[in-house]
Amino acid sequence: MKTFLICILSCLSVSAWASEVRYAKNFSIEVLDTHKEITVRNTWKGAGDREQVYALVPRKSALPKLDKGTIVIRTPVERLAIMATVFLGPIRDLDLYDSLVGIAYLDYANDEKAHQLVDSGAARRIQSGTAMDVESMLMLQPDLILTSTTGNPTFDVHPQMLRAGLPVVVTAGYMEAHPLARTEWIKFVAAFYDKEEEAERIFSQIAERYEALVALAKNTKERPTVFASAPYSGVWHVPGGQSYSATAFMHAGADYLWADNPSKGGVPLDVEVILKRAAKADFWLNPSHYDSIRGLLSADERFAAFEALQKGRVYNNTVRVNENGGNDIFERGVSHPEEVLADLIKIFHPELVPDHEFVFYERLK
Amino acid sequence: MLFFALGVGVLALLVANVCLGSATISLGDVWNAIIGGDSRNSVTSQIVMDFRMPRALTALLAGAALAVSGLLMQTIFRNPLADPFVLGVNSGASLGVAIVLLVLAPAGVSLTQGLELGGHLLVVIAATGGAAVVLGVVLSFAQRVDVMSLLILGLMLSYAVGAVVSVLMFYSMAERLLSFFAWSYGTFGNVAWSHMKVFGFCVGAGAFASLFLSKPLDAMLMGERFAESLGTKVKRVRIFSLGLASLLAGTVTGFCGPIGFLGIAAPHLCRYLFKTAQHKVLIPASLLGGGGIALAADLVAKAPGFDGALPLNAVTALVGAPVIIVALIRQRNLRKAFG
Repeated sequence: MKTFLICILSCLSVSAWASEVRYAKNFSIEVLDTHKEITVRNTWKGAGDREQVYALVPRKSALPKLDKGTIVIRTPVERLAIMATVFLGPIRDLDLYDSLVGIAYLDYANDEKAHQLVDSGAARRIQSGTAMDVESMLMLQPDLILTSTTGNPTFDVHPQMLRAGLPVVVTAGYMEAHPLARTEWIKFVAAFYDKEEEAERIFSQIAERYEALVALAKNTKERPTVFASAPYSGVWHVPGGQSYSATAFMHAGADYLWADNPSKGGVPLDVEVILKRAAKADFWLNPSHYDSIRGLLSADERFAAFEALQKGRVYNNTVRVNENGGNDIFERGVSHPEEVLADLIKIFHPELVPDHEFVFYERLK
Repeated sequence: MLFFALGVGVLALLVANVCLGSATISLGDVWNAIIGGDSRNSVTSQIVMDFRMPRALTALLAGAALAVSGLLMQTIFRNPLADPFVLGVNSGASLGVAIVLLVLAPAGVSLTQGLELGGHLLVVIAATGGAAVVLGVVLSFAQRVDVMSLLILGLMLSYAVGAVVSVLMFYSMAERLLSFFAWSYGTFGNVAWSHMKVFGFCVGAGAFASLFLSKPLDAMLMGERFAESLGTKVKRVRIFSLGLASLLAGTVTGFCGPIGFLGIAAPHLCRYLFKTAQHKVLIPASLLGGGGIALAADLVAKAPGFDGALPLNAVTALVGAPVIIVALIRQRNLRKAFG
């Protein structure tokens, strides 16, 4: 009788927090009687239809019968290790610092609390990429390791960690096309802590503000043209038309010049092709790491051919870059796309957001 | 006659490079851009005058420089496989660039600003500087050891410096590695007109100086002792030639990235075409032939008609290797050329 009651209660609480995934395409959460199952797909460009199922089983429950290949994670998580700074966004918003024991690429992190945790000895730096050390990961005894994958065995360390029996979960947030879809991965992280309700509340607020800004910019009469990024060694990787950058430009009321491109990632193009299409464009955004017009021109004086540069309409997201080059737009910007969008609208249509102060972007001088 | 044909071929490739590219521009527009009469379509004239012209000229000069550099090294070491990279030009330049892109770049935004330099120019300086340091070390041995030991010393130093680069790469983030790989693919498109003064001067001076080396180099082909008996100051010739080869290859690597294959291939192609080992023929022939191969490779790398571009280093090898294989098979025997 007692177990029956507990089951009923837990089912009730389950239905209470079962949240809907609205924007993200690459994960889904299924709530079962005994545990939750999260399915992650499209983890890297070219991953195909491959799916990975993670079973989130409460710490005190017995292991349920699971399909072969399912990876078990015990919840709620008490010791978390992150292999990328992008996860610091949800950690901050859900206040999961207490469980954070390992951080890779700490130098690139803008989150002060993450640095404090490491300084105080509560968390440790983890090596990542090709330099990953399985032994120290095992010593760390994490319940959950969050990482993402590129599909390139030289950089990807999760197979190594899986072989060592470490509880590694591969995410696919960076493969999402909609800025809010990347943010929605907060629900994914929350599921490991049984904090779905909180995640839903935080996400709804962000999504509401974001959608309001999209609606604001949608009705503008004039849509300026925009292109992005800068070349390296003669090759210019522009964001594909289906990428989240392209989506954000369009949401901010601009016409992205490569919107017709079907790619989700960067597209390598010859400089000539860029110049031919973008010479007369109104805005030039995100020109690599350059934070001054002088820097851009000393890299290549021929950039002066772009009208956007002549008119001083070059903007870069270089405001919140720490001393090691870590840019907060990959941390705070991913979990707060409404702030990035407001910045973009201020660039393209300043009259729409007169009170907004730039958070990430600056006009290059 | 053969020189004339080679010259015409190179000129034709030069014209093709200016006319063809990833952006489609009609011949009329190209012509208008060149004679400067076209004011209504300034984007196309900018593409032609500011991008294609310096790119074609860079390819011509870089190809010529690498070819002569390779020829000098092959003769000095009497080794048909020697090329500018044997002595560590490549690894030294890679180390310089790796330090900038993998070590300093994460902290480097402020660094490039402080020097009032853009990333590109800093990379050029790092690559040329890195190459110069490694070559300086190798050349300091040139007085003391014989040529075979020097070759091995150069290779060993290359491996050691390459190992340091590997360690730096091992501890770097994927995106930093990507910029490093992008550099290692090589391109002729990075030299703008303002860089051309330095680039053109270094290559021009080096190529001109090499023309005076033909007699002592002919003697060196017979072996260092024989050359000495003819009155050649062997050590001085060795240092001067290697210094020149380093200047040429170092400049090209700094501005265009490590461009492999040309330095080995062009001299062999010229030996096959002109059927001689005499340097008074081979040096000018290599200048022309190297420039021609580079132009042809860049034309393919620009992939006319497509939006993207191919990595230059892959193209130089893919385009050049079959030509050299055929030339070597036909020539059957290289020993004649190396005494």
